[in-house]
Amino acid sequence: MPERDLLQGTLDLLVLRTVQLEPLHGYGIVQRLKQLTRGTFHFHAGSVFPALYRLEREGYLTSHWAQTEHNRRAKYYGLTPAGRKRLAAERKSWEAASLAIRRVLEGA
Amino acid sequence: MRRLVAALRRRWRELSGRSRFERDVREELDSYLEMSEAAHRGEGQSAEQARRAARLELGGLESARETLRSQRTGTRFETLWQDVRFAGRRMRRQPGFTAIAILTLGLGMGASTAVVSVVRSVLAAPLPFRDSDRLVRLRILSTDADGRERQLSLAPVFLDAVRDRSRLIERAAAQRFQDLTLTGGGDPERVVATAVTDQWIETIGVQPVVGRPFTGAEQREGSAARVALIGHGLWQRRFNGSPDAIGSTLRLDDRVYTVVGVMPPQFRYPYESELWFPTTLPAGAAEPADLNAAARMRPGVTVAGLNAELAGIMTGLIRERGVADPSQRVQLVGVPCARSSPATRTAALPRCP
Repeated sequence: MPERDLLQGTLDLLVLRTVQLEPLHGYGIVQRLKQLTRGTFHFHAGSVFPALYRLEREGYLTSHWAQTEHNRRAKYYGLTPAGRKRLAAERKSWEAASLAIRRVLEGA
Repeated sequence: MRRLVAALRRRWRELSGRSRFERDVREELDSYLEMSEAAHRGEGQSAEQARRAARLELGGLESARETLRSQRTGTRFETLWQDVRFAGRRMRRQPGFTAIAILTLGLGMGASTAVVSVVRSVLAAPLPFRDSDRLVRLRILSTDADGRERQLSLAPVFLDAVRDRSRLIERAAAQRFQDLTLTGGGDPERVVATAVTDQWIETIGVQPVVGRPFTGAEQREGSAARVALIGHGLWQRRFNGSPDAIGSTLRLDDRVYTVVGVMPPQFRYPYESELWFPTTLPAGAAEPADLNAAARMRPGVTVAGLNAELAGIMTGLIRERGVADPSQRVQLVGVPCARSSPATRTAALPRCP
């Protein structure tokens, strides 16, 4: 499958989801996204980082510097309580939307 | 004192926070590149290849940094400050140019200020309407159930009422302006012309500088004479400022008017008018007629006193003639059009009354 652009507005949802279980650094987030979507979408660090900074400024993410498993310094991002709520809300609205689209495609 | 220190420290943190933010971004992106490079090398690429691949993946290091930076608030102010500093550096580097530029600007400003002051005092000062603090605009204001105020067009009946019943008003007159096309004796042009009722010249208190005002006969209903006063500018354009203008004719929208007088320079009341001719109003008509009216109060009368009297006149009119919708509050008011200081008097001239 060729790489394609991400649907508008879904990047926030995906980023929040990748850090739901444990804090991750930017590189880890990008790799996790690639893995999970099996390369369907094209994730540029150049667009993921601005999203991270924005989500942090809006209070959905927190960050701290820490050591990686390979002894490097990296900035880790984790969900705040507000981020958790936002993720749940985004997820719900995404599921509603995709269900609706599926209904249209299969019903026609 | 302690509070001041705390405030200063907070201010300093905000300012230094910017460079910390920059450092943070740089370190984070560097750390990303390192990890990405390491991963590519792990796949068997050379160091050079790995570095290029990592940078490619980041989608341009500088542009990523730029995006992050611009997300911060206050960026606009920062670039403004950069511009100011840049300008300052350039000016210091070229003192000759700077001196000439400052000198030019300074002289230019000084000269225009001087010219404006002179023109104002010589041309504008002698012009105001006579005793302009005694002039008021007459307005009909209606207030609806929601308390919204609207200005209604004045009907002739109100002018009649003010003239007949007011003891505080010396004179009142109305005017209506329109665009007319001036043809013959030169290029055709649009001219703002104003139809004026009798007593208009006496009310505003400005006399023609050449020729004469309208006569009583010219202003009477059914007068066969079509006469006009013209503005100073029009006089210069069409007649080169010659006294022969008096008595010559102008064709306006296919009607021929005889010029009887020229108004003072810069007198263009109302709305850039350059021509004035007499009109009469149907006596007692209550239909709104697009009129503007002005009144001259007797000496010593205040606007508040006048408005009390006008309210009484309006009540009488509504009772006797039913001139307004009784469900709405309709007021007849006088609005002052100039304060008595000479400076504001000239400034208020075009809008007055």
